[in-house]
Amino acid sequence: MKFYEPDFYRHIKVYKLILVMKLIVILMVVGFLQVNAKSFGQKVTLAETDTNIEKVFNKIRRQTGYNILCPADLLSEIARVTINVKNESLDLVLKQCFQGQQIGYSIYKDMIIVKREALKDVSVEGRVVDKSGNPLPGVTVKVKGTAVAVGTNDQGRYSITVPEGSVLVFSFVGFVTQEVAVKVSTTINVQLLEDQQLLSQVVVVSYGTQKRRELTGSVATLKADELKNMPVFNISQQLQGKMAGVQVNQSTGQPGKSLDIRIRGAMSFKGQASPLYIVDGQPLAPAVSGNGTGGISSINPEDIESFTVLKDAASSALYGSRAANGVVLITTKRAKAGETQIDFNSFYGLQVLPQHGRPDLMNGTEFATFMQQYYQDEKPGVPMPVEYQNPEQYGEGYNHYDILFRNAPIQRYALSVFSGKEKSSTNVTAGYSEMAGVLKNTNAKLFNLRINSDFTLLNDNAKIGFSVAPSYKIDHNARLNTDNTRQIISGALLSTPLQPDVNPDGSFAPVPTSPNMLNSGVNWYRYLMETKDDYKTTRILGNAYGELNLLKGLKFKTQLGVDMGGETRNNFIPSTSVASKLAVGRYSATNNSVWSIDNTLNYQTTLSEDHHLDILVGYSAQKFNQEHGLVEGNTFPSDDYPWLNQALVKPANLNYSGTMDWSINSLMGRLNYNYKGKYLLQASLRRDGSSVFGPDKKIGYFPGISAGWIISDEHFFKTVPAISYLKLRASYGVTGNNDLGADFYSWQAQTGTFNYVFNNTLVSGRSISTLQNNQLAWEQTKTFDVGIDMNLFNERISFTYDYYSKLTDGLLFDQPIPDNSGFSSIVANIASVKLWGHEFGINTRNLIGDFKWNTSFNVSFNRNKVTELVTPGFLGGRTTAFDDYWSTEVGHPLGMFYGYVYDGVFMNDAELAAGPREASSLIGTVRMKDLNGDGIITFADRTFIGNPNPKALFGFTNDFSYKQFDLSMVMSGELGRDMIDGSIAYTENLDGVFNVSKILANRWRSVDNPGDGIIPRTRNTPLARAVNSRFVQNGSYLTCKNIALGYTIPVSKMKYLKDIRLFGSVQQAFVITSYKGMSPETSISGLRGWQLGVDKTAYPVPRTFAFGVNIKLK
Amino acid sequence: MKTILILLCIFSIGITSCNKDFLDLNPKDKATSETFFKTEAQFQEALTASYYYLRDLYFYDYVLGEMRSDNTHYDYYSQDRGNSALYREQVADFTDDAINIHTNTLWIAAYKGISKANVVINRIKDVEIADAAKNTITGEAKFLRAFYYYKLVRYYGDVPLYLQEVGDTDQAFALRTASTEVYNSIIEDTKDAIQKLPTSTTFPQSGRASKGAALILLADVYMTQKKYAEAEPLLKQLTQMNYGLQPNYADVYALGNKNGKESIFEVQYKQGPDGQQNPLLYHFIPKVSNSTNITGVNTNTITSGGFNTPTSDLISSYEPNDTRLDASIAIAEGTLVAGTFNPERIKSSVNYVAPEGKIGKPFIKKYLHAHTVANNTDDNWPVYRYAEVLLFMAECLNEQGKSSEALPFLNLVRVRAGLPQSNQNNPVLLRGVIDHERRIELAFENKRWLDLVRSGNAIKVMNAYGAALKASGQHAYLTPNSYMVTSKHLLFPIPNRERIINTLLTQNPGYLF
Repeated sequence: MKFYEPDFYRHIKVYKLILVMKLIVILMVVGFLQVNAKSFGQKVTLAETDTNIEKVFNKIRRQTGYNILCPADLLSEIARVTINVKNESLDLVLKQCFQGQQIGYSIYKDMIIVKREALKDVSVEGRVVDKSGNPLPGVTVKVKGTAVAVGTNDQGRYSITVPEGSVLVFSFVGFVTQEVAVKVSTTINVQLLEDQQLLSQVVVVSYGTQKRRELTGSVATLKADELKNMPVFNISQQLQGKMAGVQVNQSTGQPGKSLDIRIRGAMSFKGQASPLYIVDGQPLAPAVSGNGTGGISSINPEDIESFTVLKDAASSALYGSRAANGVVLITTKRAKAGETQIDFNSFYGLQVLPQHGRPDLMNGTEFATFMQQYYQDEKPGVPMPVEYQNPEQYGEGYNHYDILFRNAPIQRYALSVFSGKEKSSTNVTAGYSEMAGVLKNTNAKLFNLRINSDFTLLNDNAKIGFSVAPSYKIDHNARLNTDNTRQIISGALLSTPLQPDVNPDGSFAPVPTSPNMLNSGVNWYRYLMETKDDYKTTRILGNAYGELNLLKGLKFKTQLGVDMGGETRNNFIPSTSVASKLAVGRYSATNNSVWSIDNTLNYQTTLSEDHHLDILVGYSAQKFNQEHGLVEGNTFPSDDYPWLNQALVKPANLNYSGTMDWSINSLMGRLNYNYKGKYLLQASLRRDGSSVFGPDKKIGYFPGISAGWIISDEHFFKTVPAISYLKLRASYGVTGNNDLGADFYSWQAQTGTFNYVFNNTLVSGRSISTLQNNQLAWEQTKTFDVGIDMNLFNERISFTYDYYSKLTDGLLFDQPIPDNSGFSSIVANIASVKLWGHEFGINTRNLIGDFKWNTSFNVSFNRNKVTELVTPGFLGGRTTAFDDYWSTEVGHPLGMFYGYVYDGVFMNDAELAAGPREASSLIGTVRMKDLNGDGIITFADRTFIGNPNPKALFGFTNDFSYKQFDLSMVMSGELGRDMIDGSIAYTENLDGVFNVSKILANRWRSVDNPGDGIIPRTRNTPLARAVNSRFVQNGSYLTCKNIALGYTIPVSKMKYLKDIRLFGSVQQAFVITSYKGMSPETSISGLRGWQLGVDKTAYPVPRTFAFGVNIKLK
Repeated sequence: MKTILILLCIFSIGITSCNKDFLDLNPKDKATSETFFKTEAQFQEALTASYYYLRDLYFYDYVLGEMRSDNTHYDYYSQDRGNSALYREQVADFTDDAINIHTNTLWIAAYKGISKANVVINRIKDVEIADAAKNTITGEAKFLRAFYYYKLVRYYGDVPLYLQEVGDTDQAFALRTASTEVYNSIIEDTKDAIQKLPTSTTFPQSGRASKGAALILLADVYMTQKKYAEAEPLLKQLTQMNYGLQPNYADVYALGNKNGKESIFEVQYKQGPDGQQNPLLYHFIPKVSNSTNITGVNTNTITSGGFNTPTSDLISSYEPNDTRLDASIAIAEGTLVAGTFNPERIKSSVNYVAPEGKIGKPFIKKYLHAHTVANNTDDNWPVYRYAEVLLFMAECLNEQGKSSEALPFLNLVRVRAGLPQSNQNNPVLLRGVIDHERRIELAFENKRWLDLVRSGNAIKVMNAYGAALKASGQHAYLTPNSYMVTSKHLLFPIPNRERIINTLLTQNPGYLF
């Protein structure tokens, strides 16, 4: 009986595969023979490193002449062998080969028979504690190589019955997994250490999880733990500065509004370019401007367990059509097996408007002087109004800006209960958050509830879970149009400082105005205090999933989700708020509902020991429906009943209701393959169909492929001990975007209403209002990414680098067409934009031991260039010179600032005569540069005057801890960007109609009194208000987003208390910038990629001082 | 195995719903191009959509048609240098350029109206609708198309000529067509409309285009082309229809006489909350913080008002005892409070002299009638009325050397205005008399500028007018380059947006961009 002949080897392979059953029979026969081992005289010499056992057997066979019989399936289980022996006994060599494994052997004649060792069951119990000796509940205790597992209870205790010689694996999220072999002792106590290295973490990825070390795409993660120090209303605020390539921008201080998040400079002309948010596997409805029923603004930060950001296309391609702007996967907290815990988290803070950056406008005396001189200079024949005859009488006058603001509280209370049993677990979180605005009479309130339940069924072969998360948000005046010129804040600012907003008796004063001023007809303070604009948003997120193990390694999962959102708006502007205007009321309602279904089949297997396969196929469908309506009316008999049943007039053309739908369905597949855990490959494909595209273009294909190589696992690399982990990865993928804004039928020629009057009676008119575009197709982004992940010096330093290059094709937008066609635009695929960049992330553990100091720093350098754009080759900036700041043009970065180049003032007649002049040029008026050299200033003399795209974005976090104290500091910033202060067109207006900036005192008044040569004379010169280079400032900044100091009270002896932590924090602690306005993060269009960096007197972002408490009860 | 089968079933259900139905979504709250345009009622609605743009067309037509001329100006308000005011001033002062909102808006309105008419004309051909209905609908659509092009060709010269519905991007990029060809298309459409449209027999009329409207449009075109002999029979035909003059000039504009017997074509407005209201009165009254003493309804017109203000040049050119002065122009009398005009009462413009301490601001009274909500009046806008038929008749007879035949038509208008009959027999002098009569009779009906261009007097008259304005010393705000009227100004610039999108579109001579 010869089993192992070198030439026979290949046959054996076939034999093994085909005749497994037969072998087992033989083995059983052999097993019955019960032959005792005799001592061996044969000596063996081996020098093997990480060698397959078959190879070792072969050598042994050759040296000893013994044949070796081993069950084929056992062959693949025996660990690779590293051995170095010289003339050792066969017995010792075999023992060494099988060390630590449940493998036995016996010798029968000239045959070594290898078999599984029959093991006795032993009962093991013990306790799991953390580094300080506190019990750890919920730790999974698993028998290695089996599905048998238990959890630790409240005291950290467990008990389990296992075969003798088993290895127990203790694992717990955030801790280093530990393995202990079961020997004689039946009590195994374990101390788990916190996981300082992230490699072993399991990361949530699209449709599943993956080990961090095996990731081949560009993926950033954040755990809730890292965010607990920043008490905020919206989770988006906590993400600022945390991840390379993830830009989070606080463009306004409006309460309750979610911040803009952009991944790798994602941009879209038509849509929002927000990432796709997936909460526990369920895609959320898209948000509109950080508010409304979609997005993440209604989610309680206390619910969050982790964030995963999928940055490159290969990682996100499985979300295909909506992944072009990146994907943010959010998991919510769930109870762990064996855990019961009550958490109470709360904070209270005060928001304070900093002094820095407040607009520096003239006070009473300065303004009256300015106006007096205005009359002297520009209205020589006109009698001086009495108001301006004695400027000194006014002193400081009235500050219309400061009166709008207050110190405002922010607070949250959240109570969570976690209960994890062996077969079921549930957690409930209830929360209430309230944020009053620093702008008076504005606030936001949010009520949350979330229930997550999971059940294990069918002998651990099935799992079912449910989540429901209702929320209710009330925005009171939080969405007023505050962030624009000549709205509340700007309007107040420009009012005369000679008149008050409030009378000495506390009543509202009449509209403040002074001679020659442009009378807005509004006392803006009164307007703010009397206006009611309330949004009430009810949202229910619900999902249910089921998982079933079909065969070993084959799992089916189905998930159903609903995202229902209803929002009402109740707006009333009383007649007293705007002089000579009727009261206006509006009531509108929007109901959004989305359902989604995701079915996946997942098969995981390992072939021939080293080939690990993970295959996923799936089907997904989603449908969105919206119903909306509006009632608007005016002319109320009194302001006392601000409801529309009182309105005398309800203009028919303003009242409407309507409905819209979109749908998506998809098929997808993904293959993960790795060889020996060090050569990694992933390929995926999604086929998406969407209702929003033309009949021939509804279907899109979105492939992704990525590969990784863990170099540090290679043998040759062991010689570099400083580097414990080094991975190279590369990926390429295509993702799509179907965001066409609010019109889901844009490819179709739709009809609109065009009513008229015949016979003095209203007659219905309808006709085509949009052009049809059957070719309207997916916006596609092709992304190439290469990256390195590296850990150094015993995990003290971990480093990540990525280079990416994206080409977005077929950008969706309204292509402008000549008005003479009867239409002004057609929705089309209009542009290609190339975006590329470098991202670096580095985490260091600077100090370990009692005093700990961790630092994480990330920086990304993003660039973009428009490579194609339909006729006329640019967007924006060309039809008006006022209040239009951006021009996007082929060959240039997106949304460059566009305008005149400021060239000072015509100081004297000679300069004026020399020109170049514009129609309204006079001595003392503004001079712009004559760029086309035709001697006169026209519309054509404008050019690119600034670039609002930042050259670098960075984030910098430091965490310190010493015994019970912890301190953290988060900073973020942008470098190398220009910013436009659009309010200058108003606050430096020279027409003598607004209160103005103090610097206008330096204006040109006469040849003898020419001022600083920068500010022109007071004269109606619209040119000075046109967008020009003087509006542009350096917008680089560094903001300290949060400083938090925490103290954990030791409570180990208390009966119910587990943990109490107190902390204090300061958000927006300081801003380092040369930008003169309130906040360099301000942006009138948020992070809309082609309209960045313009401040138009925004709702300011306050500094927040907060105190909080985290209480954990047993 | 069983579970796998169940799962495969679920999967296959999923995959079958990948079919097209799931993705074939259409609007449920409105029709699309595919579902509409089937019935007569739907074509009536589509036709109405073309009428709709008449109101857009006339929203700023007074800026181009009157403020550009010596009839009206604006109340200069140094505080408001916003674009909306600036652009109106620039049209008046001949300093306008291709980014002017008002000239651009008119262009857009006309082309939208044309596009809606084209949809009707193109699509109705292949639909089974009774011939009578098809004829009237086509006739009205062709009248409207011709009417819009006639505005365009006079204001802008050569313009892109679309006679087919635009269905895609490529069709949207047309070049300018020679104005003669545009005129030919207008004439062809109007002739067809005359054939297809019914005669108005009952008054008030519906407000739709009628045979009479098409006749006077064609006559107007011929008058502009100086084809007097061709205009004459059309005008004569109009005199034999059911139209007539109202007894008093002021009655022409009375709300009770909307679409009355003097009316041939009007832009329809209706006050109320239906979006059909006329807001123009509030552009015309002075800039006031409270309008109650002028219109009876309170609103603030500081930035919206004070445009299209009658010039003293016009007021002084009324003959003594012309009843049209009082009917057309009134004076808002009041005081200046902190630099803002505070009106106290309305006074007649006849022989008005402001009392001590008061100022009087003239404004257009023709369209001032009772209404309940500010910016929301009931007044129609007169486009063609019978008085113009008479004046056209007089003009075209005089131009053909039949001056004596012209006088009776002229005198019908003069007598109604309370003026003595003219017996001017000198054709050259009579031309001047008729021209002046048109200025007065049709004042504020957006005829003046085009009449000046048509008569060839625009450059001469407006330069003289501008020189007088500057000399008066009351208009110090006028920039040195204002009222430097040259032949360039006889056409408005092609909107800048059109030319930056369609780079092959040429600009009218003299404009910088």
